[in-house]
Amino acid sequence: MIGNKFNPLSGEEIELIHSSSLKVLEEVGIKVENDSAYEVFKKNKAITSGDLVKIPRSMVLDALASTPSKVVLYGRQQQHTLELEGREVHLGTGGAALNVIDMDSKEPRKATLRDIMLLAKLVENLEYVDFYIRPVVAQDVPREELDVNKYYASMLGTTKHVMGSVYSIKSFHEVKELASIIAGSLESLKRKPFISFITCWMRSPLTLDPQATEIMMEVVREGLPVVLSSAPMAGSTAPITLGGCLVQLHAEILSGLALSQLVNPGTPVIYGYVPSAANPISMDYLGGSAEFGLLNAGAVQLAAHFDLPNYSSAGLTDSKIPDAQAGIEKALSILQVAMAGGNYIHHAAGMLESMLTVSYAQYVIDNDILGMVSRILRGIEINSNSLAFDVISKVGPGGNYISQKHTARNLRKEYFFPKVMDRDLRKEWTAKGSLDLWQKANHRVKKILSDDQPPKIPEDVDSQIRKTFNILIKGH
Amino acid sequence: MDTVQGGSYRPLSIADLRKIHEASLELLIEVGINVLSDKVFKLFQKAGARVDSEKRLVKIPYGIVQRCLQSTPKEITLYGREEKYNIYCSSKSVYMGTGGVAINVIDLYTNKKRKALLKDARNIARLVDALENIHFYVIPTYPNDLQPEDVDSNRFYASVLNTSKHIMGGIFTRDGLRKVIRMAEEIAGSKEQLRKKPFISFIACVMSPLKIDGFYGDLLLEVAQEGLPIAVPAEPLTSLTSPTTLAGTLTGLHAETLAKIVIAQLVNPGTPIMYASTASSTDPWTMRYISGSVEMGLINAAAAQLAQYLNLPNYTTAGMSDSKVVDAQNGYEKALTSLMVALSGSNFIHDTAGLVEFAMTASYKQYVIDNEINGMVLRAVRGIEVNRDTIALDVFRKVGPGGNFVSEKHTSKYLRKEHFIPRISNRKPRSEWEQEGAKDIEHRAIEEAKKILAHHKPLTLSKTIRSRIRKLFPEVWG
Repeated sequence: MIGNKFNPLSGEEIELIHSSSLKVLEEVGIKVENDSAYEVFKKNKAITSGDLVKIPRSMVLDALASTPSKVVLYGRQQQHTLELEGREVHLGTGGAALNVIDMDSKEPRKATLRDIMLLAKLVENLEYVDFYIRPVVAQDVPREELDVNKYYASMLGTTKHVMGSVYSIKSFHEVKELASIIAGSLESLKRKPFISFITCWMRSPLTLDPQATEIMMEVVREGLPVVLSSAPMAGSTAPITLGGCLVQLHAEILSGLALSQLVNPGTPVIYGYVPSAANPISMDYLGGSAEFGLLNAGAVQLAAHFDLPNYSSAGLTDSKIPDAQAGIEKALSILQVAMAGGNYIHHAAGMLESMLTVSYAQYVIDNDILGMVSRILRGIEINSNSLAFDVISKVGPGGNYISQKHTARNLRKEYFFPKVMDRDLRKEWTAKGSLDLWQKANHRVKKILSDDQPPKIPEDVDSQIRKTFNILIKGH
Repeated sequence: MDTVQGGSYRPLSIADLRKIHEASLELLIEVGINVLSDKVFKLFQKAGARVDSEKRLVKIPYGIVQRCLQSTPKEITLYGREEKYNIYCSSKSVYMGTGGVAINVIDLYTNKKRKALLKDARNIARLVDALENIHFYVIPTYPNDLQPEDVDSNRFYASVLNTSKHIMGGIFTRDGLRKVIRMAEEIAGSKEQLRKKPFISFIACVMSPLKIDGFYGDLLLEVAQEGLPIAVPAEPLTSLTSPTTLAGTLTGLHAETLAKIVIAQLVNPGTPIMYASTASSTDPWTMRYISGSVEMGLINAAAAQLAQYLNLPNYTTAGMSDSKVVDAQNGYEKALTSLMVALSGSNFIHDTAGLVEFAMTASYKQYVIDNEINGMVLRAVRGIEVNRDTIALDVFRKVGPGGNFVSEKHTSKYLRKEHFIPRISNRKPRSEWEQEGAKDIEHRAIEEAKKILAHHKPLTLSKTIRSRIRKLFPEVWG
């Protein structure tokens, strides 16, 4: 699917933002409290004073030249391959939510490792969700066991691409080893990476997170795909104006690209961001604002302008429940960012209450939204068949198209067929129990999860993994 | 009100637009349209179209279409009774408002569905008058409590008493049309005053495929003769009254709308007429009308482009839902179609407030929710302003790495300009939201609508005008 249908910034505006970002890096600089990163910058002739690093234009331009313009993320089945480049669009889950709203409940509870596996299974069966970012923090697993377990629980449930973060260098190597066992070897993992990493290495404004930077540099040294995700919030950790927020976001990511390309030139890194606008009343975080969609769409343009694969965010809502507000906020931001052409749009399924909660039913609801958005991206096909001149002539004024061959032949191609939404007449709807979308979605969740699908890891590999790692979830 | 400009979303390329336009012209000359109105038929005959009296078929040559397109105004101002509510339809300006005609309402106080009454046209007008992101009032309901001959004048008068925003409406009897125009002249001060600043306008539909019926054909003629603004929506339904392909549907819609524009310009060259679409799709499973489909959004966004291609002011449709309840489906169907059509730069997007359940029912609470959607959509259409001041390099220099922007002057200066401030969306932490009763958006909207109806006072008419109207039109209430 290709976006490039919504471009809130003009070419001139993009140039203006870019040159301002270069100025920010040269004149204001970034704060670096990580020794190895500081050394890398210093060795390559960045201007350092105290913990400040001012990044010269040439260093940024070198980084732009060596960063790959395409990153391919694989699934463990051929059809799940994701090509991140240009305005190619893929949509999937996101988040590190603490809470889950279970089936048959509207009350949140603490998320567990089992949720990671079940949600993966759910996503495996949702037609329009392209990838799986582990959506919750499992709170029943000790922190030092978490990374391997969450990646493994994810891969037990889905063969789609799995992305996540890691808490330490040690657990990064464990996850890498886990995936190597599944791939057969580290080389085959690197050839077709079906897992990848997110690092929130930047603490806006313009300050490196020492530990996340360390991890980012390690992933970069290994040459595995990694997202550099910066999350400025307009009004508190970035200027209130959307233009200013984009300048900062762009500057922050460029500094990360520079660092990564100095450490390992040509390594696959993804231009990543979760920019937001603070609540103009309380200055708290907002996920569902109209400005959120605009910021992410603008950032897609910035990345695309420099031929950089991008990772963006859409589909958050500030509603606590799957009401109409949730529908509105999700639809608006997802459509904006998808029409802009976000390569890897995360948070696009399952989220409620900003990033705090996920809900099983919400994944199914959002799957329909993603289906509709995908249909919009396909657009209107114009050719002699679709223009249908002959059929219009044949039917003539006052006629009817329903029984025309042309209708039957083109119906499935031209229309989106929703999975759960309601299009019944009121009397049929009443006869079926007057269900709202949440209830209908819960039915679909139960149907998918009760289906007896085998775990997505072969038995022999599973037992090898259990010998190597302390896996805390049942598979076979 | 600043005019918001759309146009960043272009589902069709210039080449696509040309192909559709050319195919439509070919349809008009080769297949023709079925004209049931005698007057319209004669008008075409006189203008030199090829007619077949037996089949009531009119084939319109390219030259006539071309001539009529030249005399059609490229800009139409639809006035409010207050200047701040004027709507400037031209190029890619975007305005959003209500639509109809619903025969039922969901009552605000019982939260149950019932037949629509005259009081609903009145109360909804007052509600809309207070909602900042609903720019015009297409009279949304049919008063089931009135005799058919009293409907037009009452619908119109109930609206004008309760909102000073622009009022557009369908018409049910020709006598009613005359009364409404007469009444509006009275309110405007004179016949000329109303033509100069029309605060009312009309809708006349085309039947698809390619058919102009007796009543609407005559209605169009009459409004065009009066020189008042009119929208002429074609209403093709995919797979039913138009081809299943979106491109085929657009071809039919374009031909039908062009035919109507030709009629208006033949009878009164230069009369203000809007290119219009109420096209929608049918459910691909059951072949029944649906209003919230994604294909509906695509067709209407493309229709706006077709109008822009010919430089014609346009009227389109978006913001409906097929859900029976205020659930997430209701939210995302409305949001998706409204955003698509607004981004395409449609001038006058109707149905973007208040309608539920295939546009059969108007719902008070829904106006408040949709006002919120429209506000967000218009914010997205406004886009990102990029200049030296919004880029804020100096503020970066001042705040520096690791600092905070909250207390900067730049922040307070731009806060309200850059950020949409919602009325009823919930943005509080879960604990606060629970303390306040864990209400969903439906309940917050009901509360807000009740508050507005209890307190809002629209700009009404003077006593003199009101008593004169009562004398001239004894059938009107209120």
